Amino acid sequence: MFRAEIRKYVLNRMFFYILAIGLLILAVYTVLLAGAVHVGLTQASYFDFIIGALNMYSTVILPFIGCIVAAYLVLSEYQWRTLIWTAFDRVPRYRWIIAKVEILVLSLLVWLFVYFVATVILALLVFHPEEVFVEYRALSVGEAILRTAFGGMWIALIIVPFGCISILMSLVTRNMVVSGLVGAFSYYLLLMSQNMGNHPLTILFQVARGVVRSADVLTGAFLTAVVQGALIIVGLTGVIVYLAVVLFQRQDLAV
Amino acid sequence: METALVELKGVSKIWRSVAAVQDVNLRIYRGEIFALLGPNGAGKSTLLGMIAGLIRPTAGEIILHPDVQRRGMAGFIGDPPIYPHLSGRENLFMAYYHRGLPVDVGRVEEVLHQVGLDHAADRQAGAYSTGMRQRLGIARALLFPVPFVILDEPTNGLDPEGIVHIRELILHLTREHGYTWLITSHILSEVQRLASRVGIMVGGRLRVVMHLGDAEEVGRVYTVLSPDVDALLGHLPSWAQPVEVTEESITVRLQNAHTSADLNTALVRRGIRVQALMPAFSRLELAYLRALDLSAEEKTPLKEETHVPSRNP
Repeated sequence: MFRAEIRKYVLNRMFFYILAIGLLILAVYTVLLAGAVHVGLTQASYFDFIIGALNMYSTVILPFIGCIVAAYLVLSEYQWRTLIWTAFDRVPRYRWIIAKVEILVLSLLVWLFVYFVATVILALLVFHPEEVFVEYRALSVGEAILRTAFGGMWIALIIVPFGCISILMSLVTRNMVVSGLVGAFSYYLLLMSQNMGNHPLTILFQVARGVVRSADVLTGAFLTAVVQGALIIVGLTGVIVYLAVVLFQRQDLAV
Repeated sequence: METALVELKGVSKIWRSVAAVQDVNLRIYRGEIFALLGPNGAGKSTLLGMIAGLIRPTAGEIILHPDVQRRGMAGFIGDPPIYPHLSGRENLFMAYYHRGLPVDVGRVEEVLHQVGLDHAADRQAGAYSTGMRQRLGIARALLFPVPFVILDEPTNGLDPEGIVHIRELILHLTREHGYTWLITSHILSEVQRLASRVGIMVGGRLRVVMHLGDAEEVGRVYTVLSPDVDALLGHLPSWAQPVEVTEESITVRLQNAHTSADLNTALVRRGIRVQALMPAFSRLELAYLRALDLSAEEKTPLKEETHVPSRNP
């Protein structure tokens, strides 16, 4: 089933267009930031550049794209009427939903990975890879890159439950814009709520911030936060996927 | 004893407050080609969807033979669904991917050739004509050796040559490989050439289930209308084998190169009053129109006709 999803959605133009959009945004960001540094408007290290570019892409742009794509993964099959094959090819409906989540996770990670690699290359080319300090501690280039890679991947995982909300909404509304926006809006609400006091979900973004802003990440407190955050992501995803499966099992797939 | 691969017991489907299918009882036997006829909106596709497991019945029961449960079914409902950005060949590969099986490229090429699509297999399926999509849908239905196939208007959009080709293919697979088919169509002449039994649906109800001759028996199966069916049955010549008896008619299969003229002469000589003697196709047309009339007038449904002998193509 996963192989079918790869053939349907990863090896097609849309997947690469989204990739290209990310790289285009990165190019614009690079020109603007490098220009601003050049004329003395601001100062930025290669580390600042990587964090800024990743932050813009993974916390602002990718959630929107991810939620719209999540809705598309479901609704394209309604549009093509290929849901009929779940019956004739005897694909269990729960497996169909899980395959959509799997392909969403894979897509987010691939898009982010390519973007990240391009960001690192540009950072090393355009900015000087000098020693950078986090709090009181100097980071080597390797550690800085590893930390930002972890932070980016973490944000991609935070997007997953919100993509699953879009999948669930697609089954309910059969409307791609509404479903995508509901998922994305929920994510942005969580993002903004970080500044409105503590709640159980604030830990999600604390992990991403901590990994690039803390001097030492190999502490018990940080690792506990990572485990708690991971459990929250898995738990949220599990509940939403369960609801989607129950709903999908009960649906008549009108022909 | 005939084996029912699919059995429907009092199956109904209500969409919100509209009854799309009402109290359908039907058995589809192994090795037969069962055609479902009916005007648009008669509930045919909903019924097919329920049999395929896409739609849950509001009431009633659908019993699948263990062979169908184990090996599954194939086919399509409505226009054959395709992944428009993939080639025809890749669309067939998807069936293997869905089932978690390694792609049998040889089998894919074989079915593409069988349906006459090998020349266009690499083209994007989204650019296919209606007829090519039909061929692709049929190719997908034939990929795996399943005991039961559902085809919703399989000849829709095909050119006359294509219609003959697909018909011959279906008949060949039935005879040689024992496939069982549930087919819908609007073309009565096509149904007559293909199906062994026909059901006529109107307004969500299965009004008539009747027996037709096999394709090679076109011109050999006739329906005799008479006011005294019992006398007619008792005086049939030995070379006219009854295949179906109703309150007002008997359908017979003529043997040993006898013709309808021979039958008429024999019956008249034996003192039987023959009101009409018609090929089975005319009878199908009459039954269809009568079922439509009954629905329009909301009279009581036609009585299901008696299924006399076992008839496998």
